[in-house]
Amino acid sequence: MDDTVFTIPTSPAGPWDQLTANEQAWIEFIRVISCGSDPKITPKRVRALTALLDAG
Amino acid sequence: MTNPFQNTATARLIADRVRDLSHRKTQAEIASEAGFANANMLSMLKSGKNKVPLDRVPSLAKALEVDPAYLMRLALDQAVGATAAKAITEIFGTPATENERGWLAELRDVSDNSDPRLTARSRTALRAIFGK
Repeated sequence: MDDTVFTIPTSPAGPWDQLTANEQAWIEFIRVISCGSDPKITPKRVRALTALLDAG
Repeated sequence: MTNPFQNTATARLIADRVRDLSHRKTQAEIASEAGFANANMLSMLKSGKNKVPLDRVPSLAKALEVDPAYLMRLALDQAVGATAAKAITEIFGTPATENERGWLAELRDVSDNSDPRLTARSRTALRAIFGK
């Protein structure tokens, strides 16, 4: 490894450790099942997510 | 080994993006935009001969038009190995991509900020939504 200084981007949602454990679990699970492909937000996927959460 | 990073996710992503952008900009233009003095550097990254210099991740992500957090995650794996990359992200926090921030916003919105648990049923449904 070189000794380059680097910065990890944070987000408007705040640093990772400010996400709840449940939120971290959702995001990490999406990463795993999408094989790290960083899936885009599509209306079809949002509808499916809404249906899932509305079902309780 | 001559190409120690051959077929890593980082090398594949760079090769794919250079190909996808080829109708708009040349590989030399991408290399220049990313701040590489030598245009051959991009060929070396694509073939896995070299790893992505971490200080070039922001400019390279911009030139390749990919999310910098996503490229940073891949580049970290390449730079220090999966185990050390995992330790680094545990200490500093994992970089979230724009898409992930979007999913987080959707999750909060749809659940009325109820912080839903990831249940077995949720996992099954998510596999159907995002799985390949």
